[in-house]
Amino acid sequence: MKFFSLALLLLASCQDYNSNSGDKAKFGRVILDESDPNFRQAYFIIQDRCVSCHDHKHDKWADFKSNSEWIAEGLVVAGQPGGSEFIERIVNTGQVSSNMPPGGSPLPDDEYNHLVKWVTEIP
Amino acid sequence: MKVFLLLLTLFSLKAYSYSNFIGHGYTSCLNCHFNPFGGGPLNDYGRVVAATAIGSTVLVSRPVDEEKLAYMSGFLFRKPKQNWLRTQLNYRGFRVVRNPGSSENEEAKWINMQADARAVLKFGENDKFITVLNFGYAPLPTSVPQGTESSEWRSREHYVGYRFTPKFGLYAGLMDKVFGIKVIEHIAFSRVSPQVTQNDQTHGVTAHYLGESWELGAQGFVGNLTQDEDLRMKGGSFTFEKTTFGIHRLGASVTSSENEYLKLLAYSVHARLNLKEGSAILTELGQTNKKPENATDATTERFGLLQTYLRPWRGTYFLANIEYFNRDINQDDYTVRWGPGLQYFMGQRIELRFDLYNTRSFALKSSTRDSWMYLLQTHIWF
Repeated sequence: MKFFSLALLLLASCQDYNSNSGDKAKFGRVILDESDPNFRQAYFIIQDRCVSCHDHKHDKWADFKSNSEWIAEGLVVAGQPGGSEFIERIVNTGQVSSNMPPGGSPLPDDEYNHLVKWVTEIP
Repeated sequence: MKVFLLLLTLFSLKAYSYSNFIGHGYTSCLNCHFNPFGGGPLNDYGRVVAATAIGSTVLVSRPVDEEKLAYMSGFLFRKPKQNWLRTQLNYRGFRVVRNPGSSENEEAKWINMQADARAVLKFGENDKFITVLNFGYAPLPTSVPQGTESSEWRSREHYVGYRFTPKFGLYAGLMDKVFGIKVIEHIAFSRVSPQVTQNDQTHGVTAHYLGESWELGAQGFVGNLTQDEDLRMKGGSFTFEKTTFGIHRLGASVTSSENEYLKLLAYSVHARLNLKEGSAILTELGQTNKKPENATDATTERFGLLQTYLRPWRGTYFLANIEYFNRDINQDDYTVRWGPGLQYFMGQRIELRFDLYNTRSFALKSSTRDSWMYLLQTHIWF
């Protein structure tokens, strides 16, 4: 009985991370700020391209569900894609060797252009 | 002498530990592992194979006494005194260096990948009833949120198995999913895309059938029960392999599963080709269809693997690895990873390995810079 109890205790306290641990953040239904018509599409581009790293190890981008959260983090400057670190660090801009994603391919043009449009037109 | 003759008889059976050991003429995992689909603790025969056929004899005094090596293959170099319990300690760690030679971006660290204690309770003729426990240290994946408090201990396997006949067995508990070629590189696209990596064990029931020239596995699973229920992938897997031209194996696998956020369907075909004298080619090609709950359309990933293992002499394997990955078959961008490697079994219980990886992603009109990484790996078991 002691062995059984110990085994249960060990199993209950085990690490359980696997390929699906991020599914809720990545694929779960989200309620977004709908006041900016560009935001929803930008949000899902970021989910698709960025959150595999940026929702876990570094930060919590999946939780940024409105323009104000991106601005408050200093990643985006409303109306200024050239002054927004988020846009400048995308590998499509090609200016810094450590641009994102590291070692990854550039975003498709339509996705990159939408992100620039989103930041440019933030009300 | 009787024992050695018995071992020689056993060698006439076909078995392998790593998938590439088909190059030694062995086809099924079952003779070397308690798990019929490989991985986890070795059985007595698997330990003898590692000691007398795979490992180099460079550390052994001359003349080499293979019978003595076989006797020393047990836990802590001893012949087991009873028949019902087997234990094993297993450690795998590596130094990974990213962007080697770059003054700006070189990044090096040592990772203790796995440190397991394994125990097997076994009863009956030919170990027909087994209970396998495999528990140990596992580093937190890099995807874990910063600041998260989580255990660095993990139960990799806990299951019971019963072989109704030597050909047919049923297993229930936490096991690896049954799918494709189980290469040890857990970052391989052929393991990551269908979600069958080193942390993707699942609770379920697995049936294994070993035919004269074929082998199949069918598995129904309910996810890892230590995980939150909404994340558990529930579904099933099926894999089949057939011996062709007497020495090679062709196979196919399919797995379908879903949780509250994602539906996954993966399928692949694979080949394990025996080049003889220990050399082999492994290849796998497959696709994974992923449909997120919050999207109307599914995305289909495509993955490919080609590995060659050339064995110039006992204990040494020269590797070449080429991988392909397309994260969406409707998009043009894809990633290629390739590189050479060296696998050296210095002796029984000691595996050293070097792998060099070059990764590059290609879009329709552009590509990323070359990304380089190498691994120096140590694998020890007792």
